Amino acid sequence: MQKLAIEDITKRYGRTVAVDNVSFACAQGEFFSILGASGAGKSTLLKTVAGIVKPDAGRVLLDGGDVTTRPIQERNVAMAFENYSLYPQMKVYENIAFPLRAPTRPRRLSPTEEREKVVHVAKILSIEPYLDRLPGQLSGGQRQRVSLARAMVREPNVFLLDEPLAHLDAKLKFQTRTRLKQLALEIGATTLYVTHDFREALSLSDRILILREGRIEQIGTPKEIYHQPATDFVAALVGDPPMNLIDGRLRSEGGRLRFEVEDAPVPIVIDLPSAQATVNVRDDGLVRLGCRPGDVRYGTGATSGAVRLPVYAVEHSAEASLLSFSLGHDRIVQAQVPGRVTAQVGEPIEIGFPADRLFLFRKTFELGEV
Amino acid sequence: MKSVALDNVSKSYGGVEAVKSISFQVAKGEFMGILGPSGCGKSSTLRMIAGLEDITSGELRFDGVVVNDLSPKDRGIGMGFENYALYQPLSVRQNISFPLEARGVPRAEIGPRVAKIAKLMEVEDVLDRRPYELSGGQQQRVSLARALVRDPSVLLLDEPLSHMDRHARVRLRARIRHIHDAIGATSIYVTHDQEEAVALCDRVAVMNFGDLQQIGTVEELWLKPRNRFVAGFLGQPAMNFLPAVVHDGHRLRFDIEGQPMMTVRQALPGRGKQVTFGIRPEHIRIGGNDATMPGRVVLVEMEGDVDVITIDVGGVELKTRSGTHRSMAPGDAVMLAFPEVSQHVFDGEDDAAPALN
Repeated sequence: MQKLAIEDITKRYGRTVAVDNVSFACAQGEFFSILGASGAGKSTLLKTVAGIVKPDAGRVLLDGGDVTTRPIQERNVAMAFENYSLYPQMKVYENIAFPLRAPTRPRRLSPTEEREKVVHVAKILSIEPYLDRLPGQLSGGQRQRVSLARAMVREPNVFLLDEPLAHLDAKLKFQTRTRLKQLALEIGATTLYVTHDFREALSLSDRILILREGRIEQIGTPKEIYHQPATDFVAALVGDPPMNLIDGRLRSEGGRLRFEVEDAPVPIVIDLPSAQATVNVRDDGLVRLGCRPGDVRYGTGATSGAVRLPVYAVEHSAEASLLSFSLGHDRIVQAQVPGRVTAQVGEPIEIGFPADRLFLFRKTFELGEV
Repeated sequence: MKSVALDNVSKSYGGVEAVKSISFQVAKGEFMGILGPSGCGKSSTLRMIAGLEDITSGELRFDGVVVNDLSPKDRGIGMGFENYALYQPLSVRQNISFPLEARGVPRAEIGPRVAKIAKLMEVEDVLDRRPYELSGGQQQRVSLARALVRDPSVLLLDEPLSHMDRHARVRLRARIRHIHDAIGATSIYVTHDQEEAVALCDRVAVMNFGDLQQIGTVEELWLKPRNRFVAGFLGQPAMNFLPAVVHDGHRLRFDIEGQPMMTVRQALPGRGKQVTFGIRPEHIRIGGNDATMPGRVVLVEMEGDVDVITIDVGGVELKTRSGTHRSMAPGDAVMLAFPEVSQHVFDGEDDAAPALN
């Protein structure tokens, strides 16, 4: 059943529309992420659900009941923020136990029950050794996990998490992410999770909402978002290395559909399967072609749309190589190849764009000049 | 461009030793990374090379000549920073020509030199704009153009990509490598981001607590980490570590439920000694004839084209990576293989534990 529903929420700050007519619903136990850049309206949306921000229009429904005008303490939601907001004078244990002692709780826990619950979440988040310390004695990452533990200990109806992993270093972020997912599964709580990190969104979520300037860009499962990005914006946001986006024109020739790049150092003409939807073409014929670096064919055996380009730069990851090619005018195309490739800079190499791995988008933003 | 050599270089602040007698060489034309967590001494090392910090003891040489007592100006360093430090009221052209004018280079020479470096950096179309009119990537390129225009002895880069969004960052990274190769620069690149260091650098010096942990090519660091710290620092997700006890010469017993035994190629220390077994997520194989280690899938996390799979093996969680075509779900029983060539064994249980050969 629907645990949480957001209906036509709009929130303005002065003349700025932070959230623009957003609707979605989460099922009981669903892990639902809101992914977007800073300033997209993610936190405002989350705070509307929490009851911290009052929307200008629309409704928030919890378990089918309208809570739009209810204060936060009547919503049985638990929040953890990017800034930890811990009580500095209380030990870590007391901070985590605090929500369990709230007078609004239906039943007071025995000290043993309380300790069990606190130790359980502390163990999951690897902060058990610090229970007797004060927040000031902890690192930023440890404090963030305490804040997370405090939100999770009370087993609320709905978790609202605002970038809870933001201050952790890469290793700890990875570990904590896994723990968080395990904990969410174990408790079976409905979770609304705000992040700007596509990896967190993909790995944690049942579904993802992509928010762009206050509006919904796409809602889908991680697989849908990754494999069927609705727009060039989603395509650029999700995936690593980021998807190649190349602007060009579509031409129809003898029933064949062709994509051509203007002003490229060598002619780039890519045949498209005629089934490729042409709905994304603008009136001026401009279209944006997308191809993930891992899908670009490299060397001999390059298929459709094969071009020979001089290697611009060679980089490596542990078990793959990333080759860059310049199309001039600030445009770089990248191919990710398994293994360690030792191509020389300037060496011409054939790359190809396989027709079944291409996306056609309507151009909705200017590619940043890097 | 010149070669750089550090010979037992140390830096102390009061009684605290931030850099502990480190030595390494950077060849002319080499792209060297200095990688480590915050507080490891990498920035102090870079600042000593730049001349922004005194060297407490040891010798710093450029092309064999000791430069300890030369001022930053006289060392001829080009620097690129996290913040681009451009002069906002000046045009891009004025920003790039500034270091030449400051050194009294004749006007007739400045124009062509600025034009040449601007072309290489692909900023020739924006020379008359102000820095604030440019994208972050363009500003960083102008900053690099300014650093390179006076033909520095060495290019020092201090986390130059950390403020960029991801889509721009990966592309600018390629540009930095391109520029390095195009001008045959000697580059030293400081970062805490192992992915960046691995992507860009020919060799990487890994630091921790002021000590040089290991210096080597990326492949050496990846395949033959010298100790547990280096093994765990490179890679995402990190190398899996399993506690184990030596049984005899080449056999160890995992200190996990069921205490399974395994034969390894490394020569092990004395019976009963605590060691750490390491295997990278990329190297664990699921299924197959030689898969003998039973496990249970705990979690599957999608990351795009690959899944990160957490598997419980005798009460310890291991991570592996696998193409998304394999569908696995929590609770699934699996058999794992740890291929012999990919096994690591460390003599001890902490970060300093050395790798056994």
